[in-house]
Amino acid sequence: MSRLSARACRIIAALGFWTLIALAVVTRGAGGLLLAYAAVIWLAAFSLQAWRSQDEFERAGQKFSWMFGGMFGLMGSLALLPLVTHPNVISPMLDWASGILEATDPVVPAFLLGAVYIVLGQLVGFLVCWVGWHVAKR
Amino acid sequence: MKNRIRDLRAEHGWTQADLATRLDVSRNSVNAIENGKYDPSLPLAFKISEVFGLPIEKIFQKG
Repeated sequence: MSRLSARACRIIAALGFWTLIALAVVTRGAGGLLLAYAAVIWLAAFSLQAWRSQDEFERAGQKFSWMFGGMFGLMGSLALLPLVTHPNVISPMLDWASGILEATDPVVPAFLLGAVYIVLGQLVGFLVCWVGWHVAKR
Repeated sequence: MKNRIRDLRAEHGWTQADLATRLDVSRNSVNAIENGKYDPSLPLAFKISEVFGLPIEKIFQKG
């Protein structure tokens, strides 16, 4: 069997991850948590395969984008904190997360949302930087 | 760093994709190296010199 290309691995990683996350949201509770863990393992496995399949040029782009895009994404998410912690924004999200997690302790959904918020900020920063890097290197 | 890869590739009648296959890298990599937007690693530079049958210093120049 021929080795999958880096692009194919990235697509499989993203599709599988978001499918499992969607299933986790629908399933809820302990089953949902297991699906969320499976999603992270899926993402890690295919991301590793994508890393091994790509050449040094693409790896340089990934390193640069995680370093600078991730950093600016993190700073951007921190800068937007006053906006996202506004009661009109945060309350519906906390209710939604509480419903999914079926948690009685309000700290649990707050902690989860905080973690997801930081990861999303870094991911957005990475993607913007990654696209910019490829445009600049054309 | 300057390089003569585009000229050498043209002399051999290869497309960027042909050279990329010989080097086991993507066509985007070859394009970026040719345009001076990306400096290859030492192992890749050696591979390029091997593919063209020339010493590294005949392909890459400072600047």
